[in-house]
Amino acid sequence: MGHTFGLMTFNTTHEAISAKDLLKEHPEFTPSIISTPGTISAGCGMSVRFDYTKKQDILKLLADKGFTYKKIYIGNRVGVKSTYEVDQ
Amino acid sequence: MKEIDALDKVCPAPIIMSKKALKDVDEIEILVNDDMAPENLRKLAAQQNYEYGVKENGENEWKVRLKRTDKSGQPEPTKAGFNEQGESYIVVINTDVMGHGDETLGRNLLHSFVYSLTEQDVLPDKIICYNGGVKLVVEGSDFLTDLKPLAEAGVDIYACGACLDFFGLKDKVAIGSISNMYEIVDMMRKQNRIVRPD
Repeated sequence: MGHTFGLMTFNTTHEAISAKDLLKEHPEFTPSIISTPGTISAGCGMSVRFDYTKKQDILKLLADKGFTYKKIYIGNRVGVKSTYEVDQ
Repeated sequence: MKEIDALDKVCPAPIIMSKKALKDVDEIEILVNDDMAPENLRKLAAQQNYEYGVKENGENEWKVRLKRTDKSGQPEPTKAGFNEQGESYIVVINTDVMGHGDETLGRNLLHSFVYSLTEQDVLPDKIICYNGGVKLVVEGSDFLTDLKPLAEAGVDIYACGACLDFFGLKDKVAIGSISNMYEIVDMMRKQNRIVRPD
């Protein structure tokens, strides 16, 4: 067991930063930007980490504002390491 | 003896793979084809007191053997008296953006840097913030989310008092302690590795 969180990847760094800025207007989503983990993508992209329990609200907000994302992962952090599984 | 395939891995990957493996076993043979790798592995062996051997394994391909000895893990002190092989390090943050080119990108990169620190196998001993870096440790900073778990894990966080004063933030420190240049210089000179996200 560890700490579960959501991770959303995007097609571009710009999209990731814009989405994080939008989600920041809702502190309860606890969004933060992180480098896309190497286990998900070999590239150097950025992703948005968020409170997974708020996923539906986040998806609705992004859809309402016309934002698109690439994939969502469920992250599980144990100690200093996080592992990821594709969510949708 | 463990065999490791590091073909097509460029340095420092073979070094990292070797160090990792030698935590678990006493001897490894690592197959490399990056022409820098044999020499870098030789340096690693010298630093860590490993036995070292290399033989060609075809064109532009080498098999390097590293073996722990009784002295491994007890590196000689350098002339400055520091243990260069220790994994300890401190992080110095002197701005609230990372890199030059675009401020928005730089700010997000620094977020990503601080988060990545929290996932390192070895955490820094200290994080020292000065100039614009002190903005990370004050009330309302969105870096606190990642700095807090670092502090809870034992990382000492320091912010330059003169810098906090300059930005009018001396009463707003939310994490870590206020330091001064004498202490900052003392901490930096005693550390042989400083990581700075410039």
